[in-house]
Order: sequence, then structure tokens, then C-alpha cells
Amino acid sequence: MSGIARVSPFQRIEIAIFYLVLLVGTALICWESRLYFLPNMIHGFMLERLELAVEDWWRYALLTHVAGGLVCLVSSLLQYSGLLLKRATWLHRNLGRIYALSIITVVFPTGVALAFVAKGGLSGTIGFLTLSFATLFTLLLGMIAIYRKNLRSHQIWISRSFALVTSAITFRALQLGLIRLDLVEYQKIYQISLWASIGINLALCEYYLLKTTKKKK
Amino acid sequence: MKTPKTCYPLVAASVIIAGGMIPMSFGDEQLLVPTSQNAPAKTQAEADSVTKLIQAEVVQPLTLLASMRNSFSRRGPSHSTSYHLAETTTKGAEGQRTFTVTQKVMPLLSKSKTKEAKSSGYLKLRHLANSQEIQVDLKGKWVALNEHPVLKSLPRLKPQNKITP
Repeated sequence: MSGIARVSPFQRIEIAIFYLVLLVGTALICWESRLYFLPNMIHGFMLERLELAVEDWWRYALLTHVAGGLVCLVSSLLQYSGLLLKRATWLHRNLGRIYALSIITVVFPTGVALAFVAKGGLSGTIGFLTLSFATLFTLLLGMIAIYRKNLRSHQIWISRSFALVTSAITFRALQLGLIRLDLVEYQKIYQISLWASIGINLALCEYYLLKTTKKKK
Repeated sequence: MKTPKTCYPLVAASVIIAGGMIPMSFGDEQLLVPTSQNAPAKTQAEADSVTKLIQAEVVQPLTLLASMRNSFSRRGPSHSTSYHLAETTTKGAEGQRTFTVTQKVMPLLSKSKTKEAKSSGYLKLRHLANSQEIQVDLKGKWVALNEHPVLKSLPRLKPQNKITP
């Protein structure tokens, strides 16, 4: 019924790298985002976009988007743990509900609103809108699959949704790398990082799904 | 619904290539920098008590926050930002002095089209002599610093000089 194959030793190394990148990336994003919520502190992004930051709708949308995104990231950290699935399925389900609710009620609507005034001009707007709708679409398909008790389909679609959510980590890592390489100007780096983070995460996700699929006889 | 396995690399490559073509197709995008409609600064602010107050309350906290921008943010270590105060008081403006805080954004990448720092008016401020209050221009309306939706959260720095009785 389930399409999950046994994990080889090589895959264990891949899994370890996956968790390392995920945990470190999430921790860094949480650390970076603290300035949004600490008293008597302003995040540099708000100062950079002061003309927008004075607008209440933008400020509240950004703060709720950051908060929702952090909840989404943190709630998804343990979802791929085999141990959790075996010993505490109820926790997997509840964390999944938190993940889904945070995307549907907070991350997606605020992401769409913020996309229209995003950095990177039209390219950035299209990129963030694509990311928002693709994240919601894949999440909804994953939810429908689990309500129909189709575990394999649930795994496929939720993995894609997760890959899109974690593109925030890949974006920052890519941007850092491209800035260090100093091959193109910053505006292009931002746009390339945005689109490449979506592409790379989806590619890695498809690779994971391919590797974990039990070969059909 | 199952995507054929042979399509996986194609899907990923298509997204990346399409995304890479879009910035080249639509041209360069400009970083948004808030602009001021006021006249350019006329005189460099003299180091009197008013300018010292504004430096301490506004400019130094902004400079501190700009230096805190970490590498793992959406902006990354691509620019260095500094803030400078200049007086723009016009003749006849009794009881108040106006200032402009200019933001200088210096790109750190060698491939940046602009090699020099980009300066622009960032904030319009005024100091009222009778109330000793600093006000900020918020969409054409003057508000107190602690009523500004963003700047009210500026960190309060410790005074550098102790006041001795």
C-alpha cells in the first residue's frame, strides 16, 4: 500500500545532510526574524522599504507572514521522522494540521498581498505569486490525498509543498553564494536566487520521491 | 496522479531556465529607496544641542540597525548603508528647524552598475523650539517620533556624555 522503500546506508547520509540543512536553515531564519518581534527593534527590511512600512496593511501583512512562516517551518521539522510516524502518529497529524492551517490562513494570503509590492520588480512579483499558489495547490492536494487515505499521494504532494516552503532557506543560501561569487549585479542575484531556489528544491524533492518509491513488480 | 519519472528533471530544468530568462527579459529592477520631496539640504547640520539630539534619537539608531543586517536575510551582504543629517531650515521659519536624513547605499558587489554610493532623502524631520519635540514627516503630515508607526521602535541608545549637575 505504502510506496516507501527501505533506506540504504547511502540514503542515511542524504537524510543526515537534509536534516542538517533544514535545522540550521530554520534556526538561522528564526534568528534573523527576531528583530521583527523584539521591542525597540526594527528589522532592516522595514527600514529598507520605509515607504511601504508606514502603510499599516503592509506592515501587518509582513509581520503575520513572517510569524506564519516560522510556525510553518518549525512544525514541519519532524514530519519526515520515521520514528515519529511509528511511535506518535497523533503528533505527526497535529503538526501537519498546524502546518496546513498556517499556510492556508496566514502564509498564502499574506504572501499574495506582499508579492504585488515585492522586491525584484515584475520578476519578483511573478516569482512570489508562483511560489504562493504552488505551495497552496500542492498542500491542498496533499490534504485531499490523506482524507482519501491515499498515503503515497499524500507523501508526494506534501513533499512538494514542503519543498516550496523551504525554498526560503535555499534562496538565502543561494543569494549568499552568488554575492560571494560576485558574478552579476545584485538585482539579478535576487531574481536568480528566487527562481533557482524554487527549481532546485522541486528537483531535490522529485529526486527524493524517486528514490523512496518502491519499484513496482 | 503521477508524473512520469522521465519528466522530473525536465520540470525542474524548465522552472529554472524560465525563471532565469525572466529577469533578462524584463530588464533591470531598481531597489526601492524612499524619496523625499523636500529641497536638498542647504547646510551641513552644526553640532548644536538640537542636532546632537536628532543624531542620538534618530541617526545613530538607524546606523546601528543598518549595521545589524545579517548575511542570512533576504538582502544579504550586498550593500552597506549609512545615514547623514543635514539642516534644511528656510528663512522665516520661526520656532522650528527642519532637517533631512539622507541615506547612502553603497553597493558592495563589483558588478553593480553604480559604483558610487546612491544618496537619497530618507526622512524629513523638524524640531519645534517651544516643545523641544522632534517630528517626522509621515505622508505629508508631521507626527511625533513616538507616533511614527515604524520609527517609534527605534532602539534607545545610552547617552554618550553624562550630564553633571
